[in-house]
Amino acid sequence: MTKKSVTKFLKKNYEGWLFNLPLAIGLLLFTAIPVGTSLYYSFFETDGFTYTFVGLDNYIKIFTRDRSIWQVVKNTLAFAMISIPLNLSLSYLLAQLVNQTRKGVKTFRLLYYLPVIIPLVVGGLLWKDLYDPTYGIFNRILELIGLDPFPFFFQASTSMFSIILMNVWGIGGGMILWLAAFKNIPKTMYESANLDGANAFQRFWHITIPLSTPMIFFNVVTSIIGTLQYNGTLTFAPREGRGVDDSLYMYAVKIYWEAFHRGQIGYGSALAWLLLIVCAIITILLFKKSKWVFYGEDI
Amino acid sequence: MKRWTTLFLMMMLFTVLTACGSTTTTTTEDDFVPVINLPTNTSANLRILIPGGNANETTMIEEAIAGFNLIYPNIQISMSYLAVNSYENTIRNQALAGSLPDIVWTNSPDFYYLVSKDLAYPLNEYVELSEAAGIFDVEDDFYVEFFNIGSVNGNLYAIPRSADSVVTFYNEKILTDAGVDLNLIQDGWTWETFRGVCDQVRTYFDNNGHSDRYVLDANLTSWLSVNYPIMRSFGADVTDGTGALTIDSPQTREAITMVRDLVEDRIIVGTGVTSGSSFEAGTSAFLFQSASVSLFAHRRELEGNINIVSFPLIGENPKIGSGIAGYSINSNSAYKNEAWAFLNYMLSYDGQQAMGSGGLNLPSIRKDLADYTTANWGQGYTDLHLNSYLYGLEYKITVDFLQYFDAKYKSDLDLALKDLFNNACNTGKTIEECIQIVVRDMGDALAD
Repeated sequence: MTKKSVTKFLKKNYEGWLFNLPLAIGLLLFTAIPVGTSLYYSFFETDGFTYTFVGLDNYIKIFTRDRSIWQVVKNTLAFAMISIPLNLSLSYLLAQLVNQTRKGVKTFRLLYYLPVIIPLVVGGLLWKDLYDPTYGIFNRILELIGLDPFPFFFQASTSMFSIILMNVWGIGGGMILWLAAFKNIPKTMYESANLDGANAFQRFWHITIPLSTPMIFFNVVTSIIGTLQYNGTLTFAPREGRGVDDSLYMYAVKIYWEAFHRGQIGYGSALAWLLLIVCAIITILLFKKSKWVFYGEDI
Repeated sequence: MKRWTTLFLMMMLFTVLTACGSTTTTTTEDDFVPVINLPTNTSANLRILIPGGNANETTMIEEAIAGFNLIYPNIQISMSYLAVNSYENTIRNQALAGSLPDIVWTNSPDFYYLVSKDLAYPLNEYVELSEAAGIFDVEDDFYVEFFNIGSVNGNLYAIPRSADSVVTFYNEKILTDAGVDLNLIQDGWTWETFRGVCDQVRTYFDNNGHSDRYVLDANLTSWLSVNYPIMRSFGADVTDGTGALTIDSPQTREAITMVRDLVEDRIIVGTGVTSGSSFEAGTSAFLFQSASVSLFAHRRELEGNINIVSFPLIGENPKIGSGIAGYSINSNSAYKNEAWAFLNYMLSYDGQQAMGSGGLNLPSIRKDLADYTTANWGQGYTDLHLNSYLYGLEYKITVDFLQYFDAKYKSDLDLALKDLFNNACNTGKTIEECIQIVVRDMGDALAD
């Protein structure tokens, strides 16, 4: 691209660029520069005040000297492996349930979606109260029906279960996406299947699922990235979000802990870049293996 | 496509190189000369950073500013706020951005962070000049035990705004109902006496349908100002002063065994155990706290029923937790002398009285304001035994072990020590397991 053609391109599209400018500036200031800065920091031992160049040592430390990293990876993988399929399948079923034309179904859609519009921090504080061993409503209910209190986040053995359960309350977000996918499936397909004598299960299995695979794929990719980056425990779990005996110490929480509790900004940046690389690899692999996704134009 | 990729990579490189220029270092002016007794017409705009979420701190500083402005009407002081639980973050970000206020609130143990990053200006010269000018005499005018808490290696970095110490709050109604002889509850009481009273209250609770209540809100698992002095009372410590860990000792085992006894005897709640019992709710008899009585005295459940007494003395070498809550001068401030003028006013008789009338219900740092029946800090609570805050000056200690470690280890060591007491309160773990865990966690923290 020559200088002349660039000038011509900008002249021709300057209105569009002007409209984009605020966003572009925002992305540059609040995304591109911090991302670049964190890459720079990752090669230094720094607390923000002093900088010592250490090359790749922060990256090497992750695999060789950080004694908590495997606990962190174990927790993150356990959370991802249970939470992702559980939430995807539950939100899918929920979407099926409310994908009807019955009276009042819109109210249920709204109710199921409501938790999603509650900010993460507020949701975290809400669940902290609900799970509280002293005055939490769940234990009050258990007490009322004569059962022993449940420790939730206050015992290592029950922490992961509690957070997975808590995470289910956000399935309304996935539900909306599934609903959008269902609405895009042409009704004529179901009508044809009806004429051919297909029952409800056959219609679901041979039409609904194949035609919603693009959304399944999208949800799988975004869920994996979102779960690996999960740091919600910072707002509600004991021990500054790490949980009892580090039972909820997940990768993104570790990034926060290293960078902002220990002031190891360089090391925290290296951890963040490693997570970015892992997410990128997973995403590429998923795209490479996405032949099962059925797009409309394939029909 | 290659061109776009090249363009993208160049942009990334530009971004990284741009970031390279952001290295910031703090500097202290070598040629700066501390001056006291500024002319009263001095003008400046100062900023002071105070903790949010504490209405008393705001009102007491407002009163102090109002009093200060009677002397220096042209020095304007504006307040900004920080969250105590993200202290280091806020300080670091503001310092790096060059927006850290001239006067910075600090406490134990957070003030070690200020010191380690050279953000707190040493105040010794100001103190020496003030003493030479006859403005005050540290030994004669202040409680040295509290005044010096803001020192590290002989340098004073923070001025206490009050004398803060852990005391025992107690609920007189519960104790009376339990048939406790209130004469036992006196400053200087021992741990044995305290435990005897606790056992009596435990029996009372159990015999009156309150078996779900606990006698003591100990703050043991969340606050180093309670658990660290308990360790020290047994002769245990985190380090020997060289940075080497000494936590694995028979003394530490003794200390946490005592805590385990409290759990097993249902004096305090165990880790992970559900309980609706608390001092604030009026269902526990005791509370270890350093806070102002005003935080509790007006609660509906407690009104007219609370009082305070000293922290129970443990063993032959007892320790009582204390700490600094006060103010430092930002070493990068352009108005250090003006900032000192304000701190000097804060330390003065008038300044302490002004803060007392602004809601500071903790003992004054000044000896001449010790009598809380006449000093402003005790007003409204003169029928309570506020002297307990000042009992046993020779026993007062802070969480001073942190000064022997780099600031980056503070959070981990802090957490590991709290975990030690958390685990001690967990009857599912043996005492040896508790020790193994704290040794492992502190070792991990210091590993790199």
